[in-house]
Amino acid sequence: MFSYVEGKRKLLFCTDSEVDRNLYILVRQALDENVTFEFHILEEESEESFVNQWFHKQKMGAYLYISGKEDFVKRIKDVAMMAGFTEHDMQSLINGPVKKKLICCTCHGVNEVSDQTHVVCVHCGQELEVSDHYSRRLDAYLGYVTIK
Amino acid sequence: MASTEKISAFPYPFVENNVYRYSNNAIPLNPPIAIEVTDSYIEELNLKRGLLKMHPKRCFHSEPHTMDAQWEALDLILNQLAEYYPEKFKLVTNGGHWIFNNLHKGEKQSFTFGDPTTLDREPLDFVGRHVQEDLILMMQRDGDLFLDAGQLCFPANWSLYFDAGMSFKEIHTPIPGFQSASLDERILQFLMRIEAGSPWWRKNWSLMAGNRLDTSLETFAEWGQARKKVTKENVGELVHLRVEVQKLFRLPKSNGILFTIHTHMLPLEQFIKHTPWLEQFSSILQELPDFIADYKGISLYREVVLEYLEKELEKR
Repeated sequence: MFSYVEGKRKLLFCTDSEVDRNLYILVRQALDENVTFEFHILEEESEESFVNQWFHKQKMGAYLYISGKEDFVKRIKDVAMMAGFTEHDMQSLINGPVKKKLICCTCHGVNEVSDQTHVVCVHCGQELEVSDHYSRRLDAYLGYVTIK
Repeated sequence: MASTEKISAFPYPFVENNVYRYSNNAIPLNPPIAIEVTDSYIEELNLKRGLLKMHPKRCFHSEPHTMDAQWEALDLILNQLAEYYPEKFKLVTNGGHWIFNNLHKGEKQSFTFGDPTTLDREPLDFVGRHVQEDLILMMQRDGDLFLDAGQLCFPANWSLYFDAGMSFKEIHTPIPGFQSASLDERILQFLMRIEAGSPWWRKNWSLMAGNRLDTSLETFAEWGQARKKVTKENVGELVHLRVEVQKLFRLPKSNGILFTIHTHMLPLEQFIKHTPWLEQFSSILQELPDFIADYKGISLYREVVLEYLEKELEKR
């Protein structure tokens, strides 16, 4: 869940869907406290240059909330980082499935998984159990072979 | 592939207690020797070098900032080989110019200490090819230890490729119960306080079906199958007690920790010849909680082993 950060000069909200309710409570609070904010619903990928300009013209003390599907959140985050935002200047929330990388313990091949508990490695065909053993170096989880 | 040894040289892993739990069971290491050369030296060295050649990514990993620690590890190990096994190894150092002679293997290497261009491999990868131990370097920073380099040929079902770069706690997350009562934090604090000149050691044990030293996670799909092939006829021969002698040395200049792992194996039929071992191991295995047995990979054939041990006990 998002948390409302006090004491920011300006809040920036963006989402990929007008039916996304994750931001409502934050907007409500900003209105109550009379904090300046901007709100954009970005449904098209082509709006990227607009987003880029939007982020670039912000001043110190701006705080960003991103809500949407995983790809959207990743894309907007990247644009924000390029414009000078850091992890401390933003929060994000993913709606829907989160894809993650899974490394096959047998062949080290990378698989993409969402919420499955077992997958077949696309590289070597080994059946893998998805674990929560995570490597930051590889940004991936480990898939184990089980002996039944 | 077989690498089992004489019962007299086997490092029996249990102390007086008949109940086994995860704990910090490290004790001071006296004499302070990081390596041991056993009768299976040549056999294990050949096996190691074959694995390194065939699977370099699986068996060696290093971060660039570990170079100083790697030289320190090489320094410590080559000096100890020459000091404790003078009939097998010679080391001549003349300023920065070193000549290491492995008489046992019939190999000689000269190099300039600290100059990586004078060795055809990284220092840790070089020195690891002259000892039976697996070698891990943990680097200390930001109040934590990180697995930043290692040469690992005989892992007990883990992956150096996957675990490389992880912190101490991240490495150990797959072990059930390891976080309870902050055991992971307490062991980490202990490791970070190890001082140069005062090394520690511990023994870790498991059972395995088969006698491969190379039980990498990468090959688990092959060797793990043997767990299903344990029967009351073959149990004494097929199932082995696997013991890792683990030693911990602080490297004073880089402030890293050198962690050496020497893996020993003994088939149950040899192990149980010594009645006190049979008695104690039988009680420990009987009492062992399921979550530990599962993690150690014993569950599939634990009952068969227990019946075998009980039958043997009746004969005494």
